[in-house]
Amino acid sequence: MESLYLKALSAFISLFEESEEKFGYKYMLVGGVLTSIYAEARQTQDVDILIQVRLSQDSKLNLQKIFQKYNFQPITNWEDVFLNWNSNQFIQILDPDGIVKLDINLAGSLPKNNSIYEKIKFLAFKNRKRHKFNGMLCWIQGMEDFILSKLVYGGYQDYKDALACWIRYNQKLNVEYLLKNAKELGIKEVYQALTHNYSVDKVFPDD
Amino acid sequence: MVLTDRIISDLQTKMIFINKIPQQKLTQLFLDMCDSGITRYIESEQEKTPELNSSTIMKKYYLFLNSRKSET
Repeated sequence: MESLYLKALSAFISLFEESEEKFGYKYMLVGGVLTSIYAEARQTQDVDILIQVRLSQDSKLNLQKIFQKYNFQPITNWEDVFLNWNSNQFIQILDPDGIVKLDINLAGSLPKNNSIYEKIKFLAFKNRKRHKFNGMLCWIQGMEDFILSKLVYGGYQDYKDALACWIRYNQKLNVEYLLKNAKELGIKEVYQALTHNYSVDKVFPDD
Repeated sequence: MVLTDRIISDLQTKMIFINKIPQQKLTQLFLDMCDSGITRYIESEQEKTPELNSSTIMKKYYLFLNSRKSET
């Protein structure tokens, strides 16, 4: 039987490969889908993606057209999909079977503010990597940026994923890049906790 | 749940093994885990509400998750 998740992921990748080629919207897979590559594989029911797109009416129409061309489904209706899309910089759609959710984080042409969430988006685009995921060529977030973004978001599962990546690829990681950007993002303390393999209860005692 | 020193130690051991497994097998394991989670959820909901199809069940689930997020 064909994998439900793989079928959805293939459709998402085809869509974003086409939108990058046609409209120049750079994309990369981020989040839980990368755990089997960078950390410890874990279950997820959605796919997270980051795309760089000018937040204009034209882009909205282009995205809507391409979602519909690939028979993607809205969770409720198409109006809701794009409600506050440019202020929230976030869109959710479902695969053509209406089973797997795609969370699309948007990065505009320039950072909209000085927050670490905006900074990590733009930093990550510079280092995205081409990867063959089950035979499908796609863009994924780089290993170091995977760790940094997990530390920026800072939840229990995020820290665990970052720690698993740190342990798994300890000899391969660019530690100079990690330290420099951890300082710039204001997460040096939690990064240093990670490099000492500290457990979550020591880093987030209230979680 | 707390990620204790003991769990960290287990994680380090697990990574030694994970690094010996070909990436293709790790990807397949990830896909199996995701499918199993989705399928089990749909089947458990269909026992309660057999009239709902898989897509409707998942849409209801995502709407519920979104409503919880907006409350926090």
